[in-house]
Amino acid sequence: MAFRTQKDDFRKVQLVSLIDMIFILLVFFMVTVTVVRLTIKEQKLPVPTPVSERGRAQIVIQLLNNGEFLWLDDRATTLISKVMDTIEKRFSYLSPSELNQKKTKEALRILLKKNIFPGDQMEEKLNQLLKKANSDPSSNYFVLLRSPDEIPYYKIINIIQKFNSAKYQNILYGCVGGTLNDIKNSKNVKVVIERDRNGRRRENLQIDF
Amino acid sequence: MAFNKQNELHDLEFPSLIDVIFLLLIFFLVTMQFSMETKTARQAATKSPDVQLPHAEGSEDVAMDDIISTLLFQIQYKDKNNPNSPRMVYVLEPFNGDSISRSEAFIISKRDSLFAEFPQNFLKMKDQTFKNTNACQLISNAIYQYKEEHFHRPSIENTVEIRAEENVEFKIINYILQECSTYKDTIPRVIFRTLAKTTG
Repeated sequence: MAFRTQKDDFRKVQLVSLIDMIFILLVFFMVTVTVVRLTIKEQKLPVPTPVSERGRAQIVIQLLNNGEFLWLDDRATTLISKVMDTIEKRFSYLSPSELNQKKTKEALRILLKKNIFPGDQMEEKLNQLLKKANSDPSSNYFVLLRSPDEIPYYKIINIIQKFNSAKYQNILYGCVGGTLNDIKNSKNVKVVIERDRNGRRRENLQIDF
Repeated sequence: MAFNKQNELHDLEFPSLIDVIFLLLIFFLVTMQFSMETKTARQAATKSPDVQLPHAEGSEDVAMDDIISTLLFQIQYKDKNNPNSPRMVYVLEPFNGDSISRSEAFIISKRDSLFAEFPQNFLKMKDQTFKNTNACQLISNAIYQYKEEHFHRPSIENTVEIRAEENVEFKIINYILQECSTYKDTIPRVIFRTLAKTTG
């Protein structure tokens, strides 16, 4: 009789302890989760200081005040290159300076017409660039980011941190102030052929402000 | 038999009591920890008003919690949490070359008047007028002096830090970038302080 009572008691105690243990675990996890959230540390995001206003970049991103952005990349360069060839053939009778003026005017018209995107496409464009950079460690991209004065700087931080997250750190970037009007009023737009570090032929767009 | 049941009930109470005591212990430990954290946060806030930093995935953590180891510009609203109030710039720097905490640097900055207010209409100002404002003069003098004292030759280690409210206009940030770029390779990069995106 004594033996049976002891066994029963033992079983009941186990159940109570189990519930309490669960409570203790619950409290423990609640506390650790809150502590992790409380210790958010500041981080450092490096940005190179601009070397000069004029620079050659494979990609130019110009932010606009209305939330849109201008994105010029190799596609735009190829397009401009074709347009310039056509103009050169059609207006071969013009003097070199007149021809250059005409080419610049037409190039700018097309650049501004076809390469301005709504703000919500920025994420997608950046992801595409990141994917391209991550798939080929040997290629480097230099991106020039231009922003008007009024833009809150966190928008620039958002873009820069994307470049910074490239797996092989092969997206180099620069950040300068500037508006779309600088590009609109540019006196000279050229496509220059250069070779990159790996000796690959590359067409770059040169816009003189 | 009824006596036996009473005995069982008596046995059960003891382990539950221990568990309840444990739970109470944990509860008080946790509440004590929370009240201490709120107290230190309040103390820090009175010493140096905090700013709403942008969230980003930075590549490296700030070495120690809130330590000033190089020239840092803190740009914040004059009235805390009011984005329509004027922008203020505080120059925070290590004390006699030694790293100090941000709150200490903030006190020194206030004591030595190393702070200035941007005019309300600074966005509409022409470049030259903007450069002549007290705030811009303070920034350029601080960079020049710090460079003269600490950055003797070009090095990747020579940096200037920016800690600014996330809605601060790019014009102010760009001014600091440009001022640093006047010394070319001597100050090759500027560091932005951000918060980790994942835990935000």
